[in-house]
Order: sequence, then structure tokens, then C-alpha cells
Amino acid sequence: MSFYLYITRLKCLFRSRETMFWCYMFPILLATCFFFAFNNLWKIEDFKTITIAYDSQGAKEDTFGEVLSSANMSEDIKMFDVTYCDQTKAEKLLKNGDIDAYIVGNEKPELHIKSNSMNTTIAKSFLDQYLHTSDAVTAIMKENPNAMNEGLLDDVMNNNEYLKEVKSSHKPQQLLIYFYALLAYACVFSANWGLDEVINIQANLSSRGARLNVSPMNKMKLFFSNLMAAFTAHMGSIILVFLYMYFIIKVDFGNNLAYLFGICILGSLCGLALGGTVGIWVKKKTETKEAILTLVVLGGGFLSGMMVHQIKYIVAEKLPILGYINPVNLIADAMYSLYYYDTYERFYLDAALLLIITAFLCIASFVGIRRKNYASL
Amino acid sequence: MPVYKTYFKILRKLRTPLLIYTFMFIGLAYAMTANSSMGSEEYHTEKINTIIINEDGQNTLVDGFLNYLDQYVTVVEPGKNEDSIKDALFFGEAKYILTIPKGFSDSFLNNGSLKLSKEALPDSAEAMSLNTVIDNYFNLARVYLSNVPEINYDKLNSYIEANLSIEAKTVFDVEKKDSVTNANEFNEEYFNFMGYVIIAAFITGISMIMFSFNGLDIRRRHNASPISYRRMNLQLILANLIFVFGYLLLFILSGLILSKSRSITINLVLTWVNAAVFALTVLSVSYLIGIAVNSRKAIGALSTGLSLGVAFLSGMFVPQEYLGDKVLRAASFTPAYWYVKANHSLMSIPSFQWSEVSEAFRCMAIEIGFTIAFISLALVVSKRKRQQSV
Repeated sequence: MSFYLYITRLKCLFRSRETMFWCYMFPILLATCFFFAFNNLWKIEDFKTITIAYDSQGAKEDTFGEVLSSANMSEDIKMFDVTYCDQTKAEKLLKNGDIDAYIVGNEKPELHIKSNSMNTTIAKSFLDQYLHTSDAVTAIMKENPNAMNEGLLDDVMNNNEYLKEVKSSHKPQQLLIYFYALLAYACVFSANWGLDEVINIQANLSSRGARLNVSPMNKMKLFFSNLMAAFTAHMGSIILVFLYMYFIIKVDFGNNLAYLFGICILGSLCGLALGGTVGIWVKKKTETKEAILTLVVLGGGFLSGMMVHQIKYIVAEKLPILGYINPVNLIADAMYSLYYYDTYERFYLDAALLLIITAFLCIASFVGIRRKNYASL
Repeated sequence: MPVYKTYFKILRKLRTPLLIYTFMFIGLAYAMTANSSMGSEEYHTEKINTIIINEDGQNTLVDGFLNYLDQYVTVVEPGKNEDSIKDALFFGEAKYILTIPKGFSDSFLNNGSLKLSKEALPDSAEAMSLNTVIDNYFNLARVYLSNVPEINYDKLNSYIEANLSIEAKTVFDVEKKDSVTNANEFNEEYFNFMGYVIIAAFITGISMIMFSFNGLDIRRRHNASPISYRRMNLQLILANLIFVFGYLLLFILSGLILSKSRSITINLVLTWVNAAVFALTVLSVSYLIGIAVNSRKAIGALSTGLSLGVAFLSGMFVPQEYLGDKVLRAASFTPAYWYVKANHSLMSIPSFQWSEVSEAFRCMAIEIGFTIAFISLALVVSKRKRQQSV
């Protein structure tokens, strides 16, 4: 009998086009938008060889020109792509946006730019370094006239590396926060399904609830069958969104997908319990309850970095308690820790807090819904 | 004019979502203004947010180095624990984490092999630039140490400080940022984002109203009424135009108030014309949705889905230059792409020049082409619906 109720409710849910759109299509649409809009945004931070023009003003011995063309940012990346031309042409190139900057003169080179950017800063610090080195050679020659014979030039040309990189197992990618927050939001979105189930079972909230209360069916049994159906349908949407993100958009979720699914299941249950609690305990119109849930779930998504990724960091630093009581943030944070951290402490903390919130909401729903009788319908 | 009056009665019922869109937009535009600067721009170093963990303590070499580094970095205080430091790097609060290990100074001065540690986004321009800056400092110090006899740390620092006082001259060429450029930047962002609000608000408002007028029973009721189809349509068109241009006027005025310069240039007027052309295109789309879609809930979903999808793809939220080529090619099949493109070509030139604005007119012509296509489609759907209702 319970299975029959479960299947019937499942059919009802799948036939609701509106529910299907918001749960199955909307997260996919948003994920696609995030992917197309933000995908290139972080790639532009990667260094690309700076395009510059250089006018040596007819210098016969052009040491600076040589240094300029041989400068490297790393072993295989050149610092500058140099166009050798006169100042008039360089001005034109700069105006048309073909180059980032141009340099005039070789003894005291001048940098010409049209706006401030990272590339102009790099070009300026390169020029500064060149002048510092030239000045250092002059200063050393004053102190030690024999320095040239003692290998000063070799010392100047020989660049040592004084930095070693601490390798992290996963590269920081801010774009991922948007996807994690979106998947977390989709998990807790089940709150709307939880609310629907409560409205459908409570005689004072819907005519269907009134009809069910006069039927011989055990109300709790029906409620749990309906909740299980809602959970199944909702998890279907989560799996679909996950598959879309994982295989089509290629979002990196780290290596532990079993833990990821675990937190998604817990998130979906938490959402259902949240919707149930609001439905049972808030004695207002259905629209008001829906508005409260939208505020909690969408607001939770915002605080987890779904709209602006830095918000998650700001909340964690300035008001961490808000992060600990926000189910969307706990799920998103658990996903983030699975991707970025080598240990599971942070994941376990998030999962434990989410479990406590879910248990509390389940108890609150159960206490509110059990043994409710109506004197008159 | 009963149809006209009914139009605005229905519109009043939709005031809550329309007001939400309006206030959200004006609020965000206000935030944009608060962040925009109006001063003219001078050269400045793009400083890199860096967390510095000094395990070597205070000594002359480290102090001199940190003093030098100050002109290239903005020091970010490390968080309470190791997680906070890692999080700062992930979320971009810090772009670079530099650790000076214990014993580094002794190792450096004795030609040892101990190195500084760094954590940064691999291949990022900031990280590469700072790598060079740091290596250059210690290379310079090494050159002094190995070539100046009897040099001590204080002398080394004074040499380096003297070096650092020399700077390459930087000249701002071609176009220096002035108040007009700043105002143009604000207007471009403002009008691009307004495109999203126009789509969301018009589909919510106009489509819902058109839906109300196009129910089968309502159409049959109209057939039996003494008002001809022509009169009814004329009243609807008038009401739609008043709503569209009223809404647009509100946004244009709020844009003028929020803009710090408040100057009206020919380019800005052309941007208003572009917004009006785009509003007509969205009106035609909303009209088509209103008469073609059979459910209110579907219109709600379309309003959210279409507005967000088009805004993300066409560059209303993120500038078109950051979107991929394939995305832009796909977006060029939407009028929103041409609207944003026209805004960009009008706002990227400091003053009005016919040769430079021709691109904007071409974009507006394409938007008008889209409008004609949508109206034609709407007429076909409308005729079929009219035949059904007889």
C-alpha cells in the first residue's frame, strides 16, 4: 500500500511542469549561464606575453633593446613581444589597442601607456629594474674599480631564483564556488517540495488535506510516502544537475564523489525538513510561507557565493556563525573542502552541522504534525 | 477606451514583481555609482594583495626587503589559522602567499640554498610579476655582496635604497581618463544592465497582460462586443507603448541622477535611442509570448529563464570582451547582443564622430530587423488564434 502511495505521488510530482522547470531545468540553465559568462573571466588573469613597441631613437649600441627582447617571465614564456618602430607608429599602435605600451629611448627609457593595467605595471617594473641594475653597476664601479675584471658583468647577467613554489593538490578556481553554491542551492530547494507535502496533508491548509483527513488512510504513513516520493523526485534533479556539471561543463568536484553524494542527500533531506517545519509552524498564508522559504533558500545561496563568490569568504571571516547555520553554505563549503583540502576535517564539521540542523528540523516537523485532530472540517 | 483602462488595471496587479525589478536595478546602479571614480587618472602600480609570513624575524636584510616589497604589494593580514590563509588564496583575497623561512637571511648571506616559499595561482600575471620583482631584489643584493669589498648589511640597504629612488618616466599617451570617459564607463554599465531589467520586467508585465486578453473565452467575448478588433488592437498598442516608454523614461532619468557627471552628450542621447529601439524589440517578444504561451506559470518561468540566459550570453552582466568567441557567435542571434554592442561602440569614444558611431547605427538597424521578425511572427499567431475563436 505504501509503495502504491509512493508511486502515485511520484507521478503527481513529475506531471507538475512548473515544479519540473524550477528543479530540473532552472539549475541547468543557471549553470550554463555561469559557464559561458565566467569561464573566460579568470583565464584573463593568466599571464600572456606583453605586446610593446620600442623606439631606440637611432642608438648604435642598444643594450636596453637586447635586454628587452631577451627578457623572460618564466623558462618558456617571453616577457615582451617587441615591435621595433619609430615613435609615430608606436603612438598609432597604442591608440588602436594593438600594443599595451611603448618605450622610447635606450639610456633613460620612457614608458608610454594609455591606461593602468597589470601589463603596464610589469613593463614599468622591468624598466625600473633595468635602471636599478645600471645604477648598481655604476655604484659598484665607484667602490671597486676592478669589479669588471672580477666578473661583475657575469654576476649581473647571472639571475638566480630565490623562490620555490609550494604545490597545492588543487588549483584555486573561484569559478567553482558559483557551481558549488548552485548545486547546494538546488539541494536545499527541496524545501518547496517539503512545504507542498505539508500543505497537501494538513486539513486546515488545503481542501486535499481536508479530504485526506476524513479518509481511513493513516496520515503519517501517507505523509512519509509522499515525502519519500518528493525526496526521490528531487534527488533525480540533483543527479541530473550533477551529471550536467560533471560531464558537460566539466566542473571539478574533487576525488571523493561518494562523500559529495552523501552531502547532497543530506542537503535534500534538510531542505524537505525545512519546508515541512515552515509549513507546519508558520501560521500564515501559503504565499507568506513560500516567501519565507525563498528568502531562506535564495538568501542562503547568496551568502554561499552563488551571486558573488567573495561573499562566502566575507561571511566566513566576519560572521562565521551565519555560515554555520546556513544549510546552503554548509553544503557548498563541504563540496569546496572536498575539492581544495587534502584532509576531511572541514568536510566532517560541515556534514555534522548539517546533520544536526536536519535532525532538529525533522523533530520540529514531526512534533508539529503528529496527532493533529480537527473538531470540524 | 475600455481596453486601455483594463490594460492598466491588470498592470496594477503586477506591480509587486515590477517594483522589485525596478528597485533592484536602481539599488545596483547606485552601488555602481558609489564605486566609480570621477577624477582623472595618473600612473599607479597595480599592487598585488599578498600575505607575508615572516618566520625569520626582524633583521636588516629582511627589513630592507619588506621595505622594497611595499611598493609592489598590498599586505593582507593572515587569518586566524592555516585554513583562513588557504581560503584567502582561493577566494582571491590574497593573490600571493610569501613565506620567509627561518634562517633565510643567514643562508642568503652565506650563499646557502634556502629559498623563500610562495603559493599563488599558477601562470597568473600577478604571481609572475611578483616572482620577478622578488628575484630581482635578491639578485641585486647578491651583486653588491660579491662585488663591494667589506660591505655590511646597513651599507647594502643604503645602496639598494639609493637604487630604488631611480624610476623610469611614465607618460600617459593618447587618451587620459577624464570625467567624460568615466561618465561613459558608468553609462555603458548602467544601460547594459538595464537591458536585463527591461527583458525581465516587460515579459512579466506585457506578456501577462497579453495573456489575459488572449484567453479563448475573452476573445469570444470580444467577438461579441461592439468594439472592432482594429480599435481594440490600437488601444492595446497605445497602452503598451505608454507602459514601455514610461518605464524607459524612469530608468533614463534615474541614470541621469545617479551619474556623477550628469552631462548630456550626443553619445548619451544615442544610447537612449538605442535603449528605446531595444525596448521595442523586447515589447514585440513579450507580445509574442503573451499570445503564444498558454499558461501563466510558463510565462513566469520564461521571464526568469529568458532574461537571465540572454543577459549572461550577450554581455549584459559580463563585458563581451570576456566572453568566448563561440558564445558571442551564438549570442549574435539575439537582439540583446546588438544592443550591448551598440552601447559599447557609443560609449567607447570620448566625443561624437559620425565615422565612429556608424557601427552603433548598424547594430540598431539589426535590432529593428529582429523587431519586424517578431511582430510578423506575432501577427501570424494572432491570426490563427482569431480563427480558432470564431
